[in-house]
Formats: sequence, C-alpha cells, structure tokens
Amino acid sequence: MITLTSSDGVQFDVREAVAKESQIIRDMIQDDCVITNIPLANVNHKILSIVLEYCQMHVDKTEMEVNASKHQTTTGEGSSSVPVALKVSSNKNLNDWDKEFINVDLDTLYDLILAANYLNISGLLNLTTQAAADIIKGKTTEEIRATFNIKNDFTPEEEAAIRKENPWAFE
Amino acid sequence: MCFRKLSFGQEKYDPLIPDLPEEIAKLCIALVPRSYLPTVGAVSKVWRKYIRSKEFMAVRREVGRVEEWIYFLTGNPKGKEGIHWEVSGSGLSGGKTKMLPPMPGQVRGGFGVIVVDGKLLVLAGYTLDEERECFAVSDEVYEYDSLLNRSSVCFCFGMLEGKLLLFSSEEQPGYRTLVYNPDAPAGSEWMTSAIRPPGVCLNCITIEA
Repeated sequence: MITLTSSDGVQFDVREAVAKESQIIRDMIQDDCVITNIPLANVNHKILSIVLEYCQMHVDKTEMEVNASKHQTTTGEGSSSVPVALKVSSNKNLNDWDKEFINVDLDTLYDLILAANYLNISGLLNLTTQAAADIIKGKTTEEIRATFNIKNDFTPEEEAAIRKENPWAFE
Repeated sequence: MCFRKLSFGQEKYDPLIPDLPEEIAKLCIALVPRSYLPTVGAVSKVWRKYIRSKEFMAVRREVGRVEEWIYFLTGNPKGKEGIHWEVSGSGLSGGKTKMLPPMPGQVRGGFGVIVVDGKLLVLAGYTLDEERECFAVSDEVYEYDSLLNRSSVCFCFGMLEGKLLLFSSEEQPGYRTLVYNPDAPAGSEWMTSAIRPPGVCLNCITIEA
C-alpha cells in the first residue's frame, strides 16, 4: 500500500498498482522503492478521490481481463467456465463507464484536467481533454464564449465579415 | 501569471481558455472535429490565430486527429453556379459534397494548386476577358483556408526593374516584401525589399513612361 496525501492534508491509502497509473508516481517508486508516503501539492482531496476512482477502475478492469484470459487458457477452450458475473462485467465497455465518470460540471472537469496533467495519467488526460473538446463541438461561437468565459475581441465589422465568408460554418 | 497582463499588450497574451494552461487549451481545441472549426475559429482573435497556425496542425497530427477531405473543382462553366470547388469527407453533412465559398476575383483557368499546412493555394492562371475576347494573365495567389472555410487573396506578384516582387495581401506585422532577382549571383536571388504597399495589396501593376 502507498499513502497519497492531498494538498489539503487528506491521506488516501491505495494499492501500488493504482497509484502507478500516474507516471510521476511510477517514476518516484522506481527511483526509491521504499517510498510509502507521497505528498501531492497540487491536488486537493475532492479531486484526488475522483482521480483515484478512475485509476482504481482502470486497474481493476485490466486485472480482471488478465485473470479472465488466464482462466480461459488454463481451462481450455470452453469459455463457459468463466464465471458469468466476471464475464459480464468484463464485457461491459469501459468506455461506457468513462462516459458516465466524466459527466461532471465544468469546474470539476478543469480540476481533473489539471490533476491528470500534473500526475501525468495519460488515459485520464485524454478522457478529460476530449470531454472539453466535446463541450466546444456543436456550440455556436456565442455559446462557446459564454461557457468558457472568453471575451469576444472582434469588432462587429470583423465578426460580420467572418460570418459572411463562412456560409456553412454557422449551421 | 498576472505579471504578463501588466507588462505587455493584452491582445497578445489573452489566454485561449481562462483558467487552463495554454498547452492544455491548445490540446482541447485541437481535438474538436474538423467540420466545427469554422465556428470555433470565430470565437476570439487568439482562437482564430491558433487555428491558423502551423502549431495547430502539428498538435492535430500528434494526437492523430487529422481528417482527410477531398476537394473537387467542378461545375458547368455555363451553369448557374459556374466553376467552383466542392468538398466531401467524413463528418460533413450526410456524405454529400458541400460547396466552398467562391474564390475571390474572376473565374480563372490554367492555375496551379498546392496545399501547405491545411491551406490550398491557387496560383496565377489566366482569366477570360469576354468583352475583348482575350486572356488576361493573373498575378494573384488565392488562399483557401480549409480549416476555417475561408477564401482570400494571399499575395500578389509585381515586377519592377527586372525583379519579381511578392507582396502580402494581408497586413501582417513583420512581413517584408520578397524580391526575386533572376540576374543575381546563384544563391542570392531571393532578397527582401523595403518596397511595400501602404496597406493590403489587392493588385499591383508597373507602368513604364
């Protein structure tokens, strides 16, 4: 077990495999194999618990699949010997879980992006930045500005010119 | 990061997305599918500048989000729409082709095309002057920005004292007129010149007298 301490002093005891979803923690453990307590200065406990939920799920899923395939190979071809519950949950798409997981408000999404970047968890960074891109996609320019608090710095003339030159951009 | 805003011009340092580091914001925007980019490019000046930059294409390549579309030059020259470009590709409405905005200027023939960083350049060619029943050679280069779905005159050529001059058609800070001197020693044919149009160069012509 490894103890991760959030910026606001809350401790989380997690399995090493879960912590190692983070590249920086993986590097720390590799450099110093007796390390047991890692303080994380840039992530508060609220965000860290969400991040760890993600890591836990992805580690469990991977291990489950490895076990299931081991089970299959030791018992021959008959896949019916794999416990039904395991098979069902293993087949349930991790993408569906991710989609549900990332359904958060924008402030939380920002915090998760920053945490994934800081901890270098590539899967979570891909998931969160894609979620931000999905929020941008399909919105009008005004909606994008309002959502992300971006100032419209075009003059009305410039904006009119842009609208005129893109006849199918504003559908 | 507030020291930036205090010491430099605000326009240059406005963040792409407030509260997100620039490299992360750049990544998020680069993950947006291509068909949405004309809208995304109208959000603000910094967003537009980023989408027009080489870096944007580089980030899209890096994250494997480059989408290929195919462009046709098509149409009946006597038809209502005349000669025009159409585009087809995944993510565009129901697999149908979409019409591009017309190229600026008159309908041309015999031009060359080249693609550089997501932009289609239409070079030179000639136009048909129907009244005088003759061809006029074009000295302009049009740029079609395939990301923003935007067509513009990119730069135009001029001739002066046996040298070829390249004027930018858009006012870009720091842009200098390029000069090609065919008589210069090998390796030094290309130079810059202080001659430049006072604003946007729409066309230029040299007159002897």
